[in-house]
Amino acid sequence: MIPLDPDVSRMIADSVARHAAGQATADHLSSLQSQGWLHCALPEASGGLGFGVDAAALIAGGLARACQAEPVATCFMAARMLALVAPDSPPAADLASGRRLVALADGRVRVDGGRLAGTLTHMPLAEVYLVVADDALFAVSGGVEQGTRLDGMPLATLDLQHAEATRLSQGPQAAEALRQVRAEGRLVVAAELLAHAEVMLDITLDHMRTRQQFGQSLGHFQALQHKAADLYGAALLSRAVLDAAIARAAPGLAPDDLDRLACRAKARANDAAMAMARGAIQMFGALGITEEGPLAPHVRRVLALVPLLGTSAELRRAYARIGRVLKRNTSKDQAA
Amino acid sequence: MSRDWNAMAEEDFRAHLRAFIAELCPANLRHLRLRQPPTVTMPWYRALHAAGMIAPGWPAEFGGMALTPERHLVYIEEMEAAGTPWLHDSGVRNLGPAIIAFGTDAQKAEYLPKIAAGEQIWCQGYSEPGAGSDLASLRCAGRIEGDRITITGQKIWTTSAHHATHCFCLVRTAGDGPKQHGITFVLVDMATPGITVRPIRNLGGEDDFCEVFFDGATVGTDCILGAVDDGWKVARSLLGFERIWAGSPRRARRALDELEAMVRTAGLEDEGLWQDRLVQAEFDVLDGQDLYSRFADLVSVDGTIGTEVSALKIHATEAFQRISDWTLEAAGERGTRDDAPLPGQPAPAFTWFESRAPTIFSGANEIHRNILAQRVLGLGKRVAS
Ligand SMILES: Cc1cc2nc3c(=O)[nH]c(=O)nc-3n(C[C@H](O)[C@H](O)[C@H](O)COP(=O)(O)OP(=O)(O)OC[C@H]3O[C@@H](n4cnc5c(N)ncnc54)[C@H](O)[C@@H]3O)c2cc1C
Repeated sequence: MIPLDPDVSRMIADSVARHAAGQATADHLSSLQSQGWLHCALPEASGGLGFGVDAAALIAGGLARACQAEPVATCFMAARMLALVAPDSPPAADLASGRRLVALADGRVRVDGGRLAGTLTHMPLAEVYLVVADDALFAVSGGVEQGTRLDGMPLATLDLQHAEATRLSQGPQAAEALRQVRAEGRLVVAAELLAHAEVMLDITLDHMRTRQQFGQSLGHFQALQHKAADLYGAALLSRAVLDAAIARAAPGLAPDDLDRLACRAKARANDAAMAMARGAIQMFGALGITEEGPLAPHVRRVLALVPLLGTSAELRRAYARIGRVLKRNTSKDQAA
Repeated sequence: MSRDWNAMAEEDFRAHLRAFIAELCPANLRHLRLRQPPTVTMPWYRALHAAGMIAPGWPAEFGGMALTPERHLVYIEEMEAAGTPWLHDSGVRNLGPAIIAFGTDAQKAEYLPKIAAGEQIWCQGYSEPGAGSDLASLRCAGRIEGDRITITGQKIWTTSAHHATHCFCLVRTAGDGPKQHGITFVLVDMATPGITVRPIRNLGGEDDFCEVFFDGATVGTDCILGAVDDGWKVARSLLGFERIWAGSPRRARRALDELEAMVRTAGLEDEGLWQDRLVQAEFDVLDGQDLYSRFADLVSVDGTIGTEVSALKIHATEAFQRISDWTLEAAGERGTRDDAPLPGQPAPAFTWFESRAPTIFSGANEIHRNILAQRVLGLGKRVAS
């Protein structure tokens, strides 16, 4: 993947910011579609722009500031998967034309007597799902809406036994691509989480400057100043980690290195976003726990995104399985 | 001799450092836990100087390596990995940059070569019994008469004053007006009559910092760095660099090595809890490295360090403490013997003691939180620091 050059980055960031600042439109999906933001990871020959994780993170992060990032990450992962192993398939055309919504179905799938088996739950609602099983990539339709996620998004269940599946690609590259796309997806979701954290920080700082108690603004109280400083530090740290990870991931990395970076960056974003949600609510007082309050959509979104592609504990376990890099024996030279 | 260290490929630069260390830093100086007196470490200091490698951050025209901040981190990493000893290099790290920024040509010519050569060992005389975090309230007096300045008062917590040949101090030369005004930055030869040094033992059992008493010690006014009464400006210019140094991930990195060793010694390496903590510790170190690089990049772009660097100092020092807490816990009763730490061996209590200091020096972390809240985030009223 060729990383975005700084000018293109800036252009994307600006147009995303303009979009996020505008009125939420009734037809959110088609407006994202017409900007090209849902299928930009498809190759140009398939109607996309050949963009990678850096662009997707910019788009998802920018839209997340206005709680409008759905379904960018989902579509990015689908588009990326197709770009890697099935760029000329019907789902790629569906995604490019905006005819049908395509999502990557991530979960354990078996193949039983030539048929897919198992049930996938907590899936985004889409018309076509990409499923990796038995060294092959399948397109599956037939998801059923089953409940609503904390952030208001519909959740779907996909019963693979009875679904219609089409094989799009065969070979070990499907599983390899899935691994890469999950890692990149973690970076994109991390970008959203961090954006929510940063917005909550801004909202909270404004509140601390204006809300008066005991004859002064909340921001005068040192106990709260120190909390705010810690939340600021958490966001700054997560930003440094995520930007560095995306800059390293964009040109392409060995699978283990990409996984490590993505696990670490998403774990840090998870933690920053949760710390921010807790801290912001507390500093808002009762207003912080109202549904109408300014924090609510961000908080709900954070709680929905933290488990997506891994809670921090899950990510650390995955990281430990790949193997830590700072090992004692590698840090000493012979003379020691 | 001057070469462009930044132009070397990173791997070549690392290889060069490794070979240099392997050849010239003796094994008995490696991985020492206790700080050694200059008599022990000076040969290594001088070897670095002879190779033009003692001052990684100084510009080349003053005999420095002029490393970019990124390269500087590599330099630190290699020195740490090889366990090269702690040096009495406050002159290089702290004073040198101030002399380069504020010194007269005569001062640059007088001091910089001697600092680089290790002929002068410098200590930092800022803190006083009554002036810690509130440093600007310092009272140690400097009385100027003609071309002499006479110093009377006390400094405390002065690291390595008992080994130093010189001390850069802040003294009060005027008492009216705001407290930051009327402070003067003076370069004092410790051999000047009227100076008494008394070491203070720390929790780790080391005599590392001292009390320094000035009883009418007199030096020439050519020893004043920057303008009379305007020493606060000089002192402040050093703070940013001191903080980025305090925020480098090297201490937490070393603590992680020790945690790993202790987990293995205690037979805990297969337990999920300890595997998880090792990963958490590694994340703290690697994430801290990313944050450090971000600040380092900013410094190389515009040459200044913003107040946001306080967040880096907080993260690095508190990560060090988290990790050393875990090492002590992993050690259990193994960590309770009061032995002097052996080179390269875990010494959990010693490390734990060591980990207390960085959250206090270079600005206590509470002060850094005040700075972030008030100056970066604009909360409450602005207070001077
Ligand atoms: C290992 C070590 C080496 C040192 N070396 C040197 C040296 O070489 N030269 C030198 O000049 N000094 C040195 N110091 C001193 C160091 O700079 C001071 O310890 C530091 O400035 C804090 O001052 P203090 O110890 O007097 O603590 P105090 O200022 O008394 O602070 C005590 C506690 O109160 C908190 N506190 C203070 N004010 C506030 C506030 N406004 N808001 C919230 N909390 C506050 C502090 O954070 C701290 O937790 C060294 C210290 C250590 C630990």
